[in-house]
Amino acid sequence: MDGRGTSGWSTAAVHLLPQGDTPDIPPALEVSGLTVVYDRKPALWDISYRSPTEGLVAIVGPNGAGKSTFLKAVLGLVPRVSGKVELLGEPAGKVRGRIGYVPQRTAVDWSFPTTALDVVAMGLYGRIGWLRPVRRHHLARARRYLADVGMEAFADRQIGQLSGGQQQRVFLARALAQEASVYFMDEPLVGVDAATESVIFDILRRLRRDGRTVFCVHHDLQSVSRHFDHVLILNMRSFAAGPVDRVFTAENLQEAYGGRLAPGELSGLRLSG
Amino acid sequence: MAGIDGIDFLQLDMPAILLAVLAAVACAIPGNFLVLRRQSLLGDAISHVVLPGIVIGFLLSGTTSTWPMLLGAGAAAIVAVALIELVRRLSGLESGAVMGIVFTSMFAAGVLILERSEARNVHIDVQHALYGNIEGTVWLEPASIRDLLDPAILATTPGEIARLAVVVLVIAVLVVAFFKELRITTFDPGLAATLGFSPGLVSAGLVLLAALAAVAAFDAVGSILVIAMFVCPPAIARHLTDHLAMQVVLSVVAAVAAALSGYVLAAFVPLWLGYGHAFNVAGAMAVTAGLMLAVVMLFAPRYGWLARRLAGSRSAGVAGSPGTVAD
Repeated sequence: MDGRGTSGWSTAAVHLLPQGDTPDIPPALEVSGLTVVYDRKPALWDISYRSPTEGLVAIVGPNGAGKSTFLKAVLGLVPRVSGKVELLGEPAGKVRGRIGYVPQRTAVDWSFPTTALDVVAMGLYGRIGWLRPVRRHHLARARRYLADVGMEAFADRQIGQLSGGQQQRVFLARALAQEASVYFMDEPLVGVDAATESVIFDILRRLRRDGRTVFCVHHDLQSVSRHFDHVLILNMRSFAAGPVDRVFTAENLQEAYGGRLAPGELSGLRLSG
Repeated sequence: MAGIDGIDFLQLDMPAILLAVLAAVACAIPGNFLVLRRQSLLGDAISHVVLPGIVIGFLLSGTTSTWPMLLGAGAAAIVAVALIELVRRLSGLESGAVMGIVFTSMFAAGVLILERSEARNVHIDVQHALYGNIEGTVWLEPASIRDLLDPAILATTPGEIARLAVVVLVIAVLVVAFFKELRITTFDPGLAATLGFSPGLVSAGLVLLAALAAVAAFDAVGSILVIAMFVCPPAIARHLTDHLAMQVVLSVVAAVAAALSGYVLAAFVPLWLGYGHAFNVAGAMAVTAGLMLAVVMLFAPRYGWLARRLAGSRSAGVAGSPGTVAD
């Protein structure tokens, strides 16, 4: 899985400038020359990116742009052809305990025989470690995270019997249980109800207040400028990255979407620039 | 085959029942995770693929002792995995098709070698390899129930029973010890990997356990019916609970029940009905396991067809079947 290649041939392509960085705090995520190939077709091509040290980062781009692949490559879940990834200034393997991950909701089998509480407790497994059992106090802790997302009443429900929004909240509670410094969330807001959406944004704001960094693959361009501090615009290549008010522009979006965004879709956006 | 009277039961029926129960339990425990990972066929593939290995192990060593046969089985499993990967790359076929090709070919090769070799008419003949030989187990030492507590007599436990008992113990201990790891890698391999629980490693371990169960149960239930023991008890248990730990426990109960009722069906029912000879025990076990699954599919408290019909008429879509995703 850990196909960490050389990045030598691609260093010339580091075209994105560091943004607002403090010299002594490493960025949450730094990627250089990242290339990922699926079935001999490139999914990500020579991406270099340096994130802020904290805050909410939206990762946007058209369908098939490689947004999920970007998260998976960063986390070492898909092999990289080349490129270097550092999390919190360290190789990914060294900071495992400080990284949280929320996969796409469709990535798991919701008919699995497990309750909402069991799923949240999985967020604690990393801390519990190999071979040690889940104990009562772990479950008590998991219950508190479930309460944070307003789902304590559903603790003992089999997860397939929850609505899509409730399932997403369970996933978020599990992420909270990880107590990570940096989170990667894959489309946490897709297909959720309004109540869940506001719960999720509340949690995201709370994570920001606590100085965490959250990378969110996000499909809804309309809400980017309202909720996120930074944005990374991807379409196989990296098109722009930086503070929302500087780089979330009509030109950058049109370029990444290959001119496929209708003027109407852009006019609804509160765009910078 | 004997009726239910004292000494015959102790010496003929009890060892066969023990063997049936242990074989069923050995397969049912790892079967839970195979079914949840949608890899049930893997158990079947393993049990087929190991046949040529077992036969060659037997031919090379000239004995039916366990170790050469287990080594042969392990080697065959490794060859099969490599072949599946090779054929997949060269042919570009989907992996299900490739598995089908590799495991039936290897199994057929095993049958051919078996037929053409001196292995015929010895301990593993073709029929036993296919249908098992539960009824062939006898244990003549115990003369009364009390003898079962006598260490000297226990030491004479037939090898196949002792071997399966050890396998069941090993599987149970490992599954309990790695329960958390099995759960997270089965449910969400992506998260598991980011937390440092290598899904590949756990998966390989599970395949190894399943192979151990398949090889150990092969003697007893034969390679065709091993798949029933991998799939039926977990599927029965899945209809009765929403908790993974409880599912594993219930699958063991279902496996024991299928083995016991299968034995009764095979050994006693034909005699009660006046037939001269008993049925094949492994076959009867698979049939009763299938019947038990049919019963829970229809009548399970929550996930049964009847319960869902009733719930559906009250308020649509309250309970889903374990196979569906509510959305």
